Amino acid sequence: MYEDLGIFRATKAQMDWVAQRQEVVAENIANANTPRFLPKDLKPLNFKDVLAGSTSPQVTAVATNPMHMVPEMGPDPFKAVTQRKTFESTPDGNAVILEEQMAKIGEGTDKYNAAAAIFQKYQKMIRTATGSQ
Amino acid sequence: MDDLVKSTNIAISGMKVQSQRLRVISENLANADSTAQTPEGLPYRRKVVTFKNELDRATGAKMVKVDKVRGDTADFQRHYDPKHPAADRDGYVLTPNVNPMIEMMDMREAQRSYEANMNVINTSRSLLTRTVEMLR
Repeated sequence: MYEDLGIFRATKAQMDWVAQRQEVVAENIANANTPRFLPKDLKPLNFKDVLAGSTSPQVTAVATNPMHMVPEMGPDPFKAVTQRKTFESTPDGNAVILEEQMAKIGEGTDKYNAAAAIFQKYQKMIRTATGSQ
Repeated sequence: MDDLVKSTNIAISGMKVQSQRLRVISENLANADSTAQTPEGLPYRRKVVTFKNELDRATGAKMVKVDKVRGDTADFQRHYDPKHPAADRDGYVLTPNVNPMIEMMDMREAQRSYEANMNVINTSRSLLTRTVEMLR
């Protein structure tokens, strides 16, 4: 039922995006001292795409045989791109800047909390409309 | 949800390699004055840690691992000390190629990276808690 409502779809997309970005940033930070490692980042979430419903995975593997196992989650809905142009890189070719990644983590938390708050507000609104407490 | 758990696991792997690096640094610092016992022997050789990427097949996440612990190829230092048991015919002793300054700087870097990974874990945890709170 919630999936049909635009606002829930938008907040869900935002939260999914932050969660996946968190993973990408965690990978960057864990590899902050790995030689020749280039940081990655997700493409920014586009409001237009969310409304059009094109952020959810469109292409998945087809199960042509009932014996085929179907992945539970499907592919990651958002695309991670390697950042080629970075502020600076160390002599061993590592281009991760911890400050930059920390800022992304903080930004992600704020966006996630905002989306969660909107989700809850609308949920409360529906509860009020249905007359339940 | 799954992504947040994955990011915690990645950060944990980052913390593991940084602590291994710290272990090697302490080894270097502790042996900064370990010379040989005989004139033919070689003193302690500084160790260097390198990292590499590894795909974790269970989660599909790219973890970080210690690649190899290699010996530093830099030349040993020489000091004039004719009474030392490891002194050669000219009275020089080979001492380890450990520079305490470099080790200290390396230690700081490991500490910062460790803290950054810890920050990731904290943030992921708070996001997960926030999600659970939504159920209330």
